[in-house]
Amino acid sequence: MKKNEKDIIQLLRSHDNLGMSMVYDKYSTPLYGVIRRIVNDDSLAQDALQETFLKVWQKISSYDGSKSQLFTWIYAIARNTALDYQRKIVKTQSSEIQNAVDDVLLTTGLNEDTIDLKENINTLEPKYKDVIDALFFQGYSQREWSKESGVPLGTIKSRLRVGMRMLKEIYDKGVLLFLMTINGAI
Amino acid sequence: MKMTPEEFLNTGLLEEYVLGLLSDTEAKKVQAYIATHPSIENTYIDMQNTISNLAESHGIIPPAQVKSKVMQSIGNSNKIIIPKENNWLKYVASSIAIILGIISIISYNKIKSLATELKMEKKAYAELSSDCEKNKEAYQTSSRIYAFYKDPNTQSAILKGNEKAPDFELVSHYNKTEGQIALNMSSATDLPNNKMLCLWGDVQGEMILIAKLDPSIQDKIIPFDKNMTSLNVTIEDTQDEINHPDVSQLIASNAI
Repeated sequence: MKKNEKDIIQLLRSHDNLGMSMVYDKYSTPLYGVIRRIVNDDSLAQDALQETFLKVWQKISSYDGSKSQLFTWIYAIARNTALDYQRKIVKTQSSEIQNAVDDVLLTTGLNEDTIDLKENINTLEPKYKDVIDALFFQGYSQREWSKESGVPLGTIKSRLRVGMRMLKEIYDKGVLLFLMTINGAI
Repeated sequence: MKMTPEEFLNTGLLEEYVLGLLSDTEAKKVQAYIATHPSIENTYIDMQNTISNLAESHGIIPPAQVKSKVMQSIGNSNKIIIPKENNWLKYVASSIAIILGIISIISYNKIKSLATELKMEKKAYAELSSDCEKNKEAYQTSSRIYAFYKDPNTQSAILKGNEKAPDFELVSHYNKTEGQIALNMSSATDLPNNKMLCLWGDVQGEMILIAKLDPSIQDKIIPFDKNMTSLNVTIEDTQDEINHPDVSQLIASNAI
């Protein structure tokens, strides 16, 4: 666990507002990206993000650092909160807004530091990208996506695992490139 | 869970665990597997990093006001904690208020009962005080009478009725030094309603009315002129204003 993360957890556990400010600054952007993809509404996504951090504040005592990273724990909260909000939205609206959301993700508000990585992710084969997108950004479980897509559950599981492995390679490569950049190697 | 690491990875449980999709029971099994298999633990760490990177790569900067709302929310959340204490205090305060209310009602009834008792006691006390005063007064009167009778200067004279009132008898005790007289009408005489008996004293030839002889004079010490030389009883009309005795109606007389 990184020192900064330890400090944040300690501050959150002592209900120090600084802890919340730090965790928000650190994770609000990736979490809002996830939530915004699941909840197809700006206002509701903002509410879901707000509720996510409020839950973090209220449930921090139940967080066990030996079992997961802080982001993983918060991500699960954000995902479930976003799904709760998403269920409130009429399904017919979802597909209409989805297209607009994809445009928004590529044009505004996107964290510029991660644009290159995102483009690299787009290089994943659709069969892997789809399953990752469904589970990660649309709130499906493997079983649900199997039913939704008509792809067998075993295939979904293996695609997810391979897709995740490929993503890791992309990120590792991205980190390596980044490190080379800051060291003046490029 | 008797599976090889490869078999375990094929279940897809680890991915679902990272995404927070497992039940508590399933999550505990995965945690146990991670704890006992370093290779799975490494995969799990890699997966968490991948998830974090994936989210980071799709990150969207939320509007600035969201952070303000979050900070405001936790401010309110902190305030919520306090109201919980306040609620607790309210419950305690309410309980105390109810208890105090019950105590007040009991106390009120008790006080009301005590007030009634006090009122009765006061009334009894007033009656006792009144009786006490009366007894005290009676005692003082008795003491004065006793002192009067015990005084060596007190003398007695019996006035007996003449032929007009043969049954009449009046015992007088007089003290010329103190100028006092006490009367004891041991035997009265029957008189019509318009008649009454009067006691006169002869003072230097003039008859002075000492008292009307009715039952109220019994055991009373009546002042009289020290120069009095005789006592005289006459029958008088009750209607008349009595200034002088009707000597024709004299029924008893005695020198003192």
